[in-house]
Amino acid sequence: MKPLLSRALGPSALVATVATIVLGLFVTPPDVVQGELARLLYVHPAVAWVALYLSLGTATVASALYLWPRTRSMVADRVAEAAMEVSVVFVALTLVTGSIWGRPAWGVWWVWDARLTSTAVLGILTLGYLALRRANDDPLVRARRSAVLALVSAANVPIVHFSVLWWKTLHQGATVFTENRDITVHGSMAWTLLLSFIAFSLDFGWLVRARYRIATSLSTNFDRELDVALATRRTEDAS
Amino acid sequence: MSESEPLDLTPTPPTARGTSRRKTVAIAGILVLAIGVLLGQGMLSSLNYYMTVDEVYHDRASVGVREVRLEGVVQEGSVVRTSKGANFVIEGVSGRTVTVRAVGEPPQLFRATIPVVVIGSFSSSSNYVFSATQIMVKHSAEYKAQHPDRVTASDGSVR
Repeated sequence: MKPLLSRALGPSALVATVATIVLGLFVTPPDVVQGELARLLYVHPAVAWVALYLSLGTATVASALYLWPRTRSMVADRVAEAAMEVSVVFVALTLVTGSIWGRPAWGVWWVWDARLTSTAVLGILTLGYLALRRANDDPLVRARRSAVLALVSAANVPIVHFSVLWWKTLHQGATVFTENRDITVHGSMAWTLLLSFIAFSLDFGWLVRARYRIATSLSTNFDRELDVALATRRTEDAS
Repeated sequence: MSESEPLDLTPTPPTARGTSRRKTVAIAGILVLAIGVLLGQGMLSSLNYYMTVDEVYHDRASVGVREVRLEGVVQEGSVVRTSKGANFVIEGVSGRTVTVRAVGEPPQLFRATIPVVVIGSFSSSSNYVFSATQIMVKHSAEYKAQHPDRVTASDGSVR
């Protein structure tokens, strides 16, 4: 069962993404206020969902599992690394797609309101995480330090999420996770929005898995090289 | 090192580490508490991106003629395009209004009955006429089809 699910991830991500593109561009109607601009609804919220909740959520759980002595493993460290790396890409995409939407819809590319600023801070924190991982060669030190930073970065996620409620922002309120769970997106637009969330979530899963495999093979290579180096050193000593 | 002086390898209790951890927890606790208090006191209200029309009416004197960002809904039928930009009236939730004289091309989505944020200042320290240098549209999270009345008839045609 497991290999079947694993093999289905790539194709299902592809199918869902293509279906989102087709429905988003050709099937759904233009919006009453925003016209064709509303098609960004099938990109921007789903990308932000992956950036904020899926990837940082995965990285947080994996980092917490690493820091907890009873569940500590390098698997958790590699999952956290993979999720954070994908998060950097998706936070950047969130900012870029938001900016592209903001220019025609609001009239400005960028404003320093609470939502946009807190998202930018999150982007800097995730970049800092990648920098920190390169700052030390010792796998254990690196894993511990980066796990702590991942948890610190995750503390910013609720601030980003609630920023539109806590402060007055130019950015609109929640589209999907509204206070009374009353989604104000109508008909086929709502279904396509839901589909885009599924599609981008599957894309996230596919990317994290690919990144995790790279991390695993890198670490295996590292161990092998270390063994070779040790063996060489021993023969030097013997001669 | 001579053979007669072996290294002292007796384990020492990790006192320094224990206190440093406690210190870290204490600092983190104080930070969380401080942010909580700030939030509770509304002292982070400077993070608000704009004032509403009603807030201006509540404390007009404090606004004066300094540059502010002001939010209100564009009143129906009030928009007059001028050679420099547009004149219109924005309305608060309470129905109180501010007259806006904006310079510069309004954004693509600008029109009556939608909320906007204007940047600029009042023309005097007590009146309600606002000179705006920029209009920003604050759209809602509501999405509806442009032709919502269109239905599929029983014969499959779209009307």
